[in-house]
Amino acid sequence: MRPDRSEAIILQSIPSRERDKLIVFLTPEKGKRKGWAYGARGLRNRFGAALEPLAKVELVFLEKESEEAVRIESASMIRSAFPAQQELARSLAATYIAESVETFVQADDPSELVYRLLDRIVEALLAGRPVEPIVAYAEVWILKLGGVFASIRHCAICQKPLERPLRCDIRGGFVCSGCAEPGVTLIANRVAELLGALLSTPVDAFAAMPIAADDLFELRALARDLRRYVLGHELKTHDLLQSVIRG
Amino acid sequence: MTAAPLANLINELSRLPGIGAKSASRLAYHLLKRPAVEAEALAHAILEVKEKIHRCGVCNNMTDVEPCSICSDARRDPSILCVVEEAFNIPTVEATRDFRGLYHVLLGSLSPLKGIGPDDIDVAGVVRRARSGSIREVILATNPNVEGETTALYVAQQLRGLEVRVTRLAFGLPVGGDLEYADQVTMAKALEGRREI
Ligand SMILES: [Zn+2]
Ligand SMILES: [Zn+2]
Repeated sequence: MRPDRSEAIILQSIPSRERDKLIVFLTPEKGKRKGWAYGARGLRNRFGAALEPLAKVELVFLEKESEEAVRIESASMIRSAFPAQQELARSLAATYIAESVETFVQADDPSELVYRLLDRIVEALLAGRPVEPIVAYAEVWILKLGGVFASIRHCAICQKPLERPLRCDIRGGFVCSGCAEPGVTLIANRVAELLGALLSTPVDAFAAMPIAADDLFELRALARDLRRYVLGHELKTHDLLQSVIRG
Repeated sequence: MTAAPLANLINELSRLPGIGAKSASRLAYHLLKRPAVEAEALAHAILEVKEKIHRCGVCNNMTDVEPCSICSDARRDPSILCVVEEAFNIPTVEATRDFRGLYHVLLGSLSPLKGIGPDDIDVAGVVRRARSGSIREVILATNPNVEGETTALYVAQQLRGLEVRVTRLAFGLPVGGDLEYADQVTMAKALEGRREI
């Protein structure tokens, strides 16, 4: 056993056994990992708030070759997400985004890009930016980084430049008119422009943009269809988040 | 090879929360060594609890009378309601001897990742009691973590518009510790909840 050290963002914190927690966390280099935090359920435990969902921490952990889960030795807080988790919609959005990342990122894969994405999304949630554009941003980017669609400029099948209106085939992304099969979804140009802006703007700036509610709704519906096709089901936090966002 | 009845006991014990295979085996061998009357007393206690204890129809506390001894205590203040996640949280609050109001047990916390939504816990019961008119204050005493906080926020949202004061337990510094060991979240919350002395 040798101690390892890594920056990480906590994805899930699962109370387990009498006093322990099983922690799912994301690292830039080694993707999604699991680790035991012994004694973390106690009120005066040595981890404090550092293992709460979406906290950004410096972790020291021990790896056992025979076991999947590491043993978390210490966790020092770099940035807590707790201030953002004291508003209902923002807190549920954070849980939902963490669930998306956990679902789409493989264990032990380098995940520098997803890590940076999640880091900036939490930052935007903490900065008090509007919740729904941040959620839309996370939904689309997680699909892109998860390989669900590759590009909105080139056809996923023949690589030719895409024309307008954009056509989305939920089985594999955006396709040109020549490759489109019956049943592809035509994307309104306003929504395609919003999608283009989302993919070329940092989350903070995107969430500060004036966005028409209808366009945001349609963009999220597109992401939802792609996600549900790939997963075969919806994410667990989705419906509750939606009911709270809609008020 | 473990004898079948012993293996059966170990198996049943290991299904209890916090009991692994090793502890289950140790407990089973301990029970084997003790006199039969002790085992009978234990078995009887378990059966009696299952027979006689149920949830209070008013507050969801575990009780053998209806309503529970807290709900039916005329000396308690019916205008203050303390909302907790589980029935086993009640003795912790009671131990302070400072709280003389009534309770409502939610039967869990909002935990969408575990498939526990607002309809799976008893938020509706809190709202119903708050609507009844006799309650002036609802204290949200859910766990001081993200799940507990989300649950408290959700209950507070459901109580909006009613004529009740909704409060949340303070996130304080643990008594008996040194300030230098407080993490930044606990410290920030303690500052926020500071009071005049
Ligand atoms: Zn094509
Ligand atoms: Zn009762």
